[in-house]
Amino acid sequence: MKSKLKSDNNFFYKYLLLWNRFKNYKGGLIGFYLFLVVIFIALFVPFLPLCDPYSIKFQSFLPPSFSHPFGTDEMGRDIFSRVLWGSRTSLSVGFGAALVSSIVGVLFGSLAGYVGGKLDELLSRIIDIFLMIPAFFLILLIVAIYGSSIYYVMLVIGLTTWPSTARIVRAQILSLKEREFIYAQKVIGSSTFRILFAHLIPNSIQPIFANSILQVASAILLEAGLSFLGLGDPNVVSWGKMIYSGTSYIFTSWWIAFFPGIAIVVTVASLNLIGDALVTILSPKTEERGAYA
Amino acid sequence: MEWKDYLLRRSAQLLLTVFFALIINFLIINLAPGDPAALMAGELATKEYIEAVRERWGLNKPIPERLVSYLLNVLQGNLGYSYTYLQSVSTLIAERIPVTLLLTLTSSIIAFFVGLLLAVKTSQKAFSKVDLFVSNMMLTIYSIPSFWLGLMLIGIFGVALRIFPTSGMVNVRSTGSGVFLILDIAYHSILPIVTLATIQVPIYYKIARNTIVEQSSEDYVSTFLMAGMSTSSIFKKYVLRNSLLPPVTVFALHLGYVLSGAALVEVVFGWPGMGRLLLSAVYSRDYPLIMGIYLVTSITVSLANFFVDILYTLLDPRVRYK
Amino acid sequence: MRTSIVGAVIALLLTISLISSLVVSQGLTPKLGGTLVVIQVGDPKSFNPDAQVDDMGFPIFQNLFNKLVTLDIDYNIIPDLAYKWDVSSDGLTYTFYLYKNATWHDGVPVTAWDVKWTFETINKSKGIAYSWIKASNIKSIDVIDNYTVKFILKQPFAAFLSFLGWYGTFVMPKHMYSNYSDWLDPKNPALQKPVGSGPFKFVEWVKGDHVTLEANPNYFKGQPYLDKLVFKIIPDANTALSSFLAGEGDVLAVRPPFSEIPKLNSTSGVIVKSRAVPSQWYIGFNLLRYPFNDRTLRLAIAYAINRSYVIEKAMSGYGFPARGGYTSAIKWAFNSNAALPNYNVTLANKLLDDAGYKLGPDGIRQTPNGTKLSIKYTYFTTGPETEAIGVVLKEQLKKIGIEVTLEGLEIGAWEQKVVKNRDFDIALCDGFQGPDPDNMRSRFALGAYLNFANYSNVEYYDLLQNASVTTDFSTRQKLYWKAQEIFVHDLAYIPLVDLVAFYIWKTEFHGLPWESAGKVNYNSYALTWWEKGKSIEPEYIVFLKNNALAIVIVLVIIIGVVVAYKVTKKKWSGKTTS
Repeated sequence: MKSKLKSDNNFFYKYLLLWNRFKNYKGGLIGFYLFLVVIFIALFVPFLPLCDPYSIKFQSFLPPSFSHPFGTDEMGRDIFSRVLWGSRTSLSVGFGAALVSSIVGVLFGSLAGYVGGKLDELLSRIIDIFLMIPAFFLILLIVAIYGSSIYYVMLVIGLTTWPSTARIVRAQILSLKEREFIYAQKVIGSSTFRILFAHLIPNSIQPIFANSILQVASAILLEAGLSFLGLGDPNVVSWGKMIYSGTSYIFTSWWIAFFPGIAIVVTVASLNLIGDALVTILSPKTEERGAYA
Repeated sequence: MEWKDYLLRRSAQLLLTVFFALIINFLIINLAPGDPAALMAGELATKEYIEAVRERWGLNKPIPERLVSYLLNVLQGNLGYSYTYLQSVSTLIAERIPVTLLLTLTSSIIAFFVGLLLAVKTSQKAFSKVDLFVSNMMLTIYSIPSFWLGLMLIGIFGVALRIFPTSGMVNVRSTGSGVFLILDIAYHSILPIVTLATIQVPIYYKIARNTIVEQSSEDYVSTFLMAGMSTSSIFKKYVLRNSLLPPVTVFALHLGYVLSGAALVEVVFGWPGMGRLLLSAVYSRDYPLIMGIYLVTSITVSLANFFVDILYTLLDPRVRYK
Repeated sequence: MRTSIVGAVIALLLTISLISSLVVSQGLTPKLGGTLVVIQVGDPKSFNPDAQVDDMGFPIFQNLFNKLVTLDIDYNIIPDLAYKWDVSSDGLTYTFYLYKNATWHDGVPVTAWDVKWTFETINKSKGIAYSWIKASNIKSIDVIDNYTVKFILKQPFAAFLSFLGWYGTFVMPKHMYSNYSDWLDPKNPALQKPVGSGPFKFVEWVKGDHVTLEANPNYFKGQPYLDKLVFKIIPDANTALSSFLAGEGDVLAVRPPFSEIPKLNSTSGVIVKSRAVPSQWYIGFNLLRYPFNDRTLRLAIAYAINRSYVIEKAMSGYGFPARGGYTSAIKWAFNSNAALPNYNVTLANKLLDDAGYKLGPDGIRQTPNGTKLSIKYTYFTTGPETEAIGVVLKEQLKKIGIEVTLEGLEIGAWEQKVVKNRDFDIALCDGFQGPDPDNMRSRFALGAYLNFANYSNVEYYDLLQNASVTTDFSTRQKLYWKAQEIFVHDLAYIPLVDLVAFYIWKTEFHGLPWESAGKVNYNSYALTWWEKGKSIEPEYIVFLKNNALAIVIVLVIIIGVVVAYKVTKKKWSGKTTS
């Protein structure tokens, strides 16, 4: 264990260091720039000079042209505008789910790791059980019969993917809690709560960070898969849903399913490139298995 | 003795896990809004008729009672009868298992070897341009939604070029027998297998490449190099051998998903496997069938994990009996 | 010399007529042999045809089993197991006379006892037809002799024969079921391997892939032409379409995406026919909820919906705008004078203004009670058009200041929320409204399970109840016409689209169910035959036809040789004699 974490001070300095190392990873850097573009689009799409993505006023099935770069869909909506607007949905589902997953994962993982003993045993069992349930089937079932609002999808993906985060956090906390600076905190009489939230969790956040970025990517794919089965929220523009409806027209109007697919690949790949670079940088070379289980 | 204890404890955990997964599934399904009886009864049904259907399937009993009787049945190996197919759930699932295994096992094996081969090739010159390019390519492929890839393959090879059939498992017009049936199934399975294999290659590539790179920087490599061994023989004799465990582990863990992992691709290719069975069960609210499928898939995942743990304990003395 | 020329000309004429008649007859005479592959969406549930609602099994049952009477493609009642029937003048007694040569596929004769058992079991075990044939209205089923059976009703029921010919009324083999107390007993092999009486026999069922039937050579109405009938199961419309185009199917019973229909139509070797069917998409308002109990609001919404535009956008133009209070496909019952409001946004806005629905600052109206007029459209996610209709409604209602959000639910959840809990604002529904307008009673009338809007106009209910027990045709028709006027006035439901069904098949098949009106039920392939099949004629004609060209050539050669021989012989004899 040659972790370079010394203490919890100099938070920003640490991230500067991280960025300096990250810069050397070309793939990660490309991913990062791509991702900036996606984020930019998602944030500023309402201000861009685009057609209303919900308006059905155009002719249906127009092939890509100058006025409709990606063509129009089966109801006469502009696909270019919909693909750009779709970034909002995908990113919010991705980040929302990853956030839920991280919060639950960090709570469970750190409690298990720090308190230890019987509680650790119990929580680890719960984590194991959740890891064993085929997540996609479970999400599918819940969304299919309980409803497909976008917040619901976020929550369900988050609540079914937290165990992997919890495992990583637990391992981190286990190795950190024996350190001098934690020991020092104990000696000066800091409360458990303070030690956990002010010292242990902030110091184990970096590996979680990399893991969370990968989770954003997989949540986006999950949402797309659900929408592809017709289980998406009808009130938002979603890439998976666009592919779902485009599937019906793939042989005559390929552009309806093609462009949203490309958008998914670009977004997810950018996140995976960043995440992979971060994992490589931050990897303590141990306990790799958790990430794959 | 210690070993026996460990095995016993681990098996108990396995059973416990499956048990809890079963209860969670039961509750999610049975607490869901919607009434399977009303669906079974159809749109012009009278209330009286719906009540009759409910009674027939015991849906009028309270949930705890249903849970207990379901658990008792499962313990006796009886997964119940499907509402829609009127057949025992275990028969229905057993019919689909080999169909899905054909896709998932074949594609996993192909992906494993392709991934490993690519990793061996590129990691020889780790961090070279080729290596980085392939690595990033793999990450991009890893980001492709499987159903979209399948759809594109159908569009290109099934419809535009007409080289492969677009759906199904056999040609129903001339269902052959013997060798011809096997050939027919093999022919129909090519596109789905290619789709599944493509999206899995990056998984094996990544883990294999990282391990090989890691192993190549171990101290023993430089020791052997100084001792005058050639790079290739060190690689063959030690590095590769030492790097096999992680990809094999990942492969074994993935075996847990052989039944549930291909659902989306099955939908795209009209492949009559477990995923399709589950989807139709969900849409027709076939509670016993849904629960049966969940039970079987949870068991496979748990078993895969169980065996990987055992394997690790056997191979790696450091993690013994933790 | 002259005689030989005349002979040659006659021979030539004969050959030409022979060839042309061969060519003509080739296209008209049904032939034996061949396999027809029907591509359909899903698996049957089981092979008990009367126990459960089973829309995927139904087309297969229609080929495996028979009913007493059945419905052809125009929903006319035609004979099936009963070659004739009498109805007493009071409308209470129905006597059916069965074909005497009908047998089950295992050789056991089909008798009146099977009929009695079937309908008594439908009543006892609550079969699917229980509700619509009013099974509890049947006083007794009397077997007169093995081939005559009499139904005595408690109350006249005008639509009795129509519903007997429709769904869930297949006559089932008593001898296969009588050993089991429950007709859905999973141990009964007949549920997986059915024994029917129809033109095709069961061969195998590979779940999720196909169901294979083969010709029943002993069918009491004559052996069907086809050797084999396969139902191939492809749930996905695109996959189904592409396999059809790739030649993997002959009849495409999975409706392709609307956009593909023109393309299919222009594909050589493929025929696409469409016809109006008695099914509609309609929306219903939650009358238990404010402000939907206000008729003015409903009327304004009806004015604001451009039904043609809904069809154009959500269904690529395939369908007809609903015109009145019932499907126009059942022509005798449809009242064209009971018209729905025609699209008129200005009028809709005016209605709302006058009724005190004031426009808020955000462009959305408020109810007179001061709540925002933001409504939820609840639909089930069975296909792309349910959502698409919502997208169009959203856009159209925006123009009269009503905000719509979409709520898509899996059909079970929809049923729970809309039908059972009445927790919705407006909801979309569809359904088959035939074969008789009595259907409306179980759909829209007071007390009907599916009446989710809670439409409770007593006058409407009374009219439908009366019509149901009225046997005189024109009185019945008038009652239904009156009911439709009330229906379009109240607007608890707004019909949107009259549906169109598509029949898509390969030109090399003939005599399909939709081409055989008056002869077979609307799913039966008993009269379907394949152009390239073996011929049905005696073997020597088959031989002649198959070898026509060779025979003609041989004939011509023989004639030629004879003529040449005669000519040369004459020359010879001329030479020798002169």
